Amino acid sequence: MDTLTLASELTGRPVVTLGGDLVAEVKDTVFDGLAGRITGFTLNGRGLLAGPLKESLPWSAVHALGRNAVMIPGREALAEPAAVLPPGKDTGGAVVGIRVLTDAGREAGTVRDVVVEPDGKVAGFQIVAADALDHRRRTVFIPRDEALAASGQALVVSDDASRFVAQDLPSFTAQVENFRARRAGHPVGKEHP
Amino acid sequence: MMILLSQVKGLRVVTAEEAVELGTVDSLTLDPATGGISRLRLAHGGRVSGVAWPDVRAVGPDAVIVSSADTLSPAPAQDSGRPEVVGARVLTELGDEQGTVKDIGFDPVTGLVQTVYTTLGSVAGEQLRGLGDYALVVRAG
Amino acid sequence: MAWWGWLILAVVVLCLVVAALMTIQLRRRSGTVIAVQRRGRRMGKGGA
Repeated sequence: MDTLTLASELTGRPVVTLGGDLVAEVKDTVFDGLAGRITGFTLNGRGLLAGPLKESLPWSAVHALGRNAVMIPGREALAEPAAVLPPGKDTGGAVVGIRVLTDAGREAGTVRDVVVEPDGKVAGFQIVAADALDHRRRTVFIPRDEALAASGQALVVSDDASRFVAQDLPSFTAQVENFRARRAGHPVGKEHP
Repeated sequence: MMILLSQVKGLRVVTAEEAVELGTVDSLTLDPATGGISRLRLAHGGRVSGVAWPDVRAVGPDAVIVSSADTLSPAPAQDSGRPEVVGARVLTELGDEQGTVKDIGFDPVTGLVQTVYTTLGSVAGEQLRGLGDYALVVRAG
Repeated sequence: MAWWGWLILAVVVLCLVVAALMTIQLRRRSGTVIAVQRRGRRMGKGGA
């Protein structure tokens, strides 16, 4: 697995065409809470004085999500906002601050950030741990379970995943791999309450 | 054969047909599509103008010879908004920064860029992908 | 009030206006992480 990034750190990252032109800056990172993948970005205009743009950037049009820029083939990659944020009642919402529950019904904490991979996959979440997870209520990283979801209301993680918690991003990379290897060995959904 | 932009910068630009001095080389404009120089930018008395590469007859050790004074065109028409190559940020197409451009080595006959020297190393001319207002984009690897 | 009193007042008011505008602008540009659910499979309760 490649270098992990906090989604909140994507805000402000320049959106640059392969021709080298700066067209926008990332505002919000939007991800599908079921598929666990980034679906796109809402955008700000370039420069501090510019406001939010009417256009957005769907993930399908992203050439690469780099450390210093989001690369797109050209300006035509930008699309109407509906391409990223579907209009209507179920648009979801901001995930920072929402409750994290384990699939065993335990309170795990509140979401602080979302950890993404360069290919747009959500690797896990940074959460402010609840008592049950960490007595010192520290900020920890917890892997995402393929079968569980996030919405604008809550995030459900595997009860198991709490055993793969990491304190920092570099060690989280290893923990995500451990967690996935374990998941591969134990098919999801065979445990019953 | 290769010559550096830093060696060419400041050379006098003289026309072959009239033998008049048009100014000195200030910078150059790249065309990443062809991987070559598209224009030479000239400075003369604080004003900036340019000569298209096909009108450049020779880039020598002591002067640059262009066909005639007619080839000179005011820069703003084509060069406005054109970024300065030296000092430009270098980005790989994967979105990772690779320093900034220090110098450019090109073939003085064909005008093809052979090497881009950056603060972190060098990039072969064939790897150029685009030069815009934000960065010089190069192929990764 | 002396003329410089008005001057200081004007500068202070100007600073406040600029600070307010900057705050508004930073708030407009601030970003977050948003969860959406694309294919409508198993929506959460309520779905506000």
